Amino acid sequence: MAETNGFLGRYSGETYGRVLGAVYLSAAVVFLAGMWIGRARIGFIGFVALFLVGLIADFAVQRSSVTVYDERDNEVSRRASEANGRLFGGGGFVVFVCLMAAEFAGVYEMGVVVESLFLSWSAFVLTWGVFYTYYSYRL
Amino acid sequence: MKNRLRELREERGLSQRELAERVGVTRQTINSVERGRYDPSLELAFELAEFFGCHTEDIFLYGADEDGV
Repeated sequence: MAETNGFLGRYSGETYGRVLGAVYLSAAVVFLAGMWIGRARIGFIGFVALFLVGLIADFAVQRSSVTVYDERDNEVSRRASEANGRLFGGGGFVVFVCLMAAEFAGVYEMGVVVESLFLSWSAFVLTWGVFYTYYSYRL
Repeated sequence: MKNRLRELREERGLSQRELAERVGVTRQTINSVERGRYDPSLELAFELAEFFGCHTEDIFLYGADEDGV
């Protein structure tokens, strides 16, 4: 690990964090670009390759003495997950309750796609409930 | 929560990055704590107190408002 630290110690954790973020972001961009230009397979291969490079680099940096992620990052992740959950959980609730009410009123009929989205949203909320129950007993 | 982290750090002539490296966090974390945007964990608070050779309450001023009362 000492050799690794010598090599990686040249830059700060902040720099590595930015580089890793750029690698993960470029993986997503390559994937979307592949689909956009009709080369989904190449985009997917590029995505997997870049994501793996990111994971390996991430693992190597975390094994060194360079601090890339710390408790503030955990807090940032927690808040991002919370905001994301509220957006999709709360937003989905409003949308699907309105759609179901419209369906019961006979002014709307859920299509296959919307029904699949509704089931996915229900699974998302139920999974949250399972995790909440688990952690409420753990903490 | 108000704190005296910047003051203590500057007294010792340390940069945010140097202090971050000493206590094992990122520079952004030290910056956020100094600006009062992030309250550190108990573990980090004790780590900082140990580094500065003081008590946590000498760094973090519980109950102090924006005017430092």
